Amino acid sequence: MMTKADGEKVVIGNDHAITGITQTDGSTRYESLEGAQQTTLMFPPGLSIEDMIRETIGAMQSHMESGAKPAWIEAENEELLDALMTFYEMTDDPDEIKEESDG
Amino acid sequence: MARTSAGADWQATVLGTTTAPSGTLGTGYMAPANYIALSNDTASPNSSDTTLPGELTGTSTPSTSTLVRKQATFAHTTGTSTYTLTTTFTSDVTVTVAKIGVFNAASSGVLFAETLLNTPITLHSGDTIQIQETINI
Repeated sequence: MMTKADGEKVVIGNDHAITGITQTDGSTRYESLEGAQQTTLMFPPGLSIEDMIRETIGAMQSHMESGAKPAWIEAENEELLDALMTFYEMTDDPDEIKEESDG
Repeated sequence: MARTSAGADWQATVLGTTTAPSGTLGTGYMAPANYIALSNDTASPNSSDTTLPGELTGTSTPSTSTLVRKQATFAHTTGTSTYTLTTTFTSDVTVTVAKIGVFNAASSGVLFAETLLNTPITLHSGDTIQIQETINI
């Protein structure tokens, strides 16, 4: 287990946002949202970095279309930020970001 | 009356966040409901419940120390009328989980919602399960 952190948060730029609507039979139907959204995750105190990574990835499955990646990620915890950037195969090089968006 | 997007964001945050983005979180009865409890009870949820039938605790059957009520990660996307609570448990017993409860405290507190799983899940010692509740507001 790596370092612990209390009450941390992650904000994710989400251009492929979805929202879950609970149905009367208890299932959840997902709808896509238009435009650039933000998803904010607030962690309870005492989670390890591994826990925060796992719960961010798990939670985002209900907030972002499958296969999509965040537009950006903001986190005060550098270790968490690096791990999420790696998981989503994102770069923090502005030139590469531009090249990707240029197709 | 039409609720605004800002109103939905505020409502989700007040109901479920673990950390106040500004100001102070509600406490006691007014605390956000972001604790997830597991139960082996298979009966349909009852709106008159104030406790979670069959909640797994240190004194339940089976007793457990790792499947007890736990504060979850809150997630909300701007302008939506939903938020999620996500947490992960690693089992220390063999038990069948059939129902999920959402509370606003680590013990006792208000039972905010119950969900009966479509299919109960049997956990063995060492198994890990991630629970996610989607709450519509």
